[in-house]
Amino acid sequence: MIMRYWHLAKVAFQEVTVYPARVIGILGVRMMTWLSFLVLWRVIYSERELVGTYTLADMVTYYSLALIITELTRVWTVTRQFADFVHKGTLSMWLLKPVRISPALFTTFLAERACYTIFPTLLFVGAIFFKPALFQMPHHLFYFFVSLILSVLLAHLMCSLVGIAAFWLTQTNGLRNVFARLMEVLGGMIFPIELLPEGIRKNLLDFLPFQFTQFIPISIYMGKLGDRSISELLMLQLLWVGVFAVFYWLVWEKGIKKYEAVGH
Amino acid sequence: MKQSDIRYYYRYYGHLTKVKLMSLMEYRFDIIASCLGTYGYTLMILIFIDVIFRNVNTVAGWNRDEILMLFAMSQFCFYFFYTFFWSIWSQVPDAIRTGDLDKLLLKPISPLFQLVTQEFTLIEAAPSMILPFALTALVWNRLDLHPTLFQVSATAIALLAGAAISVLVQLNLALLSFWVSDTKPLQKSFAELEDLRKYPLAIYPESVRWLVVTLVPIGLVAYAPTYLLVKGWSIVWFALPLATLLFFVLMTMFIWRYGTRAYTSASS
Repeated sequence: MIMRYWHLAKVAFQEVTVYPARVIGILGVRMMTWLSFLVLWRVIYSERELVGTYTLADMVTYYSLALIITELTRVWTVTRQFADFVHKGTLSMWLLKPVRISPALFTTFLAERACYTIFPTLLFVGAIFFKPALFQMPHHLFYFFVSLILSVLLAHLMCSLVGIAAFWLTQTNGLRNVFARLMEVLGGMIFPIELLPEGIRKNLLDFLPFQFTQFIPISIYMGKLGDRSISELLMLQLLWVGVFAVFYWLVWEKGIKKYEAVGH
Repeated sequence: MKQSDIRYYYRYYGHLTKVKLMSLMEYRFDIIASCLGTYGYTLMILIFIDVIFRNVNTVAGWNRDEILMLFAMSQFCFYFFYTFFWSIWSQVPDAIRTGDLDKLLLKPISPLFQLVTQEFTLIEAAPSMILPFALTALVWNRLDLHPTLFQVSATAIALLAGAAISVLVQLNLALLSFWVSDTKPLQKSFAELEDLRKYPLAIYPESVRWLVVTLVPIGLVAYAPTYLLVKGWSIVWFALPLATLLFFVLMTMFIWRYGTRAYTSASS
């Protein structure tokens, strides 16, 4: 059974790497966006040493890790795939295959994202090795990896849920846009959410799952935990994964009964 | 172009709008959600700008309101593309790759015009377009701008040129579909890169500044009109967008001409 998913992953990896120029182009653009953030912050740090509790080295580390984690949690292809399957009726073909659709999509997603994550990760590790002064050193590397795995799972579940809303809405582009924006800001992709006013963080963000997709893993890596412990954060992250897994399963079960295989 | 030709294109556009409106009503929820998404994006940028300016008073000589004006201008350029030329993004590469261009070549209207105007999103864009207008009005007041008519005209021309540059760069990327199998990731990446246009050019090191003004002219698009409006007249920031626009018009004509020659219909 596992071999089937392994083959799916292999095919997905090959599908991406068959166009190396495309991968390089996309990564090049992402690097430019990343650099533009750094350039902007460098200008700001020319006037002061600290922004919130972040030094320039913290900020460089934050954006470098955000670049890698963003690549790993860029789940919008899955959302679009799900919506297309329902919209065009191609879900029927997946239902006939000897694999379960959700893990199959997760596997192919991971393989695809691996192509885009390898290069920034190598660059980050290399940069730490050759220019350690530019970066903040890792504080809790093992827990960071645990949190990273949970964040990928959480992002995947959240975005898949948006995708399977297509059972009821048919078109989910708009919903996907809303969700993408929320994940970008509230997840900490654009800037560390610690820089937001405390009221917003304590009264809003702490009750939402978005920060667990980006900000929390990076905070664990950098040891910027505030008044919370690692175990508390990991438990909360696990809880969100559990909540979304159950919710996903319920919605899927209900949605699949509504599916009409339009056009096929 | 004759007056009757303009009427003909106008009627064609009117018909497209009617069809679009009918199809939109099928997916009302999606329209509302799309609108919320764009509001969300604007809010996200405003929060980011707020976070920055809670820590500093100016960024590379630009204060909060000037940066907000820069952002509003960048939004105008985006909505120009989104409203009138969205099919460059959504349909041009597919039409070329799958051979759908065939039927456009047979119609008595410019195929390139049809290709870039297949999708008309004014109705979807209209609610979101309120935001840049509102932001401009707000910042205009706060900056206490009193531009001359000449300055306003120069700003409008530079803004139109900037918006057109954005459209043409995207179109050139899409037209690469004549030779490359899938240009969408490239277009998408360029769209992500366009986020850079909301920062003042002075933040970039000299070499990067040169790059975003010439080779990848995203730096020009919103910066030039904003500079003309808030900082005053500058021949460089007026002439540069126009020269760049001319270059991209010529480049588009060149790519279209050689692309249609390389086009091998449905099997391409």
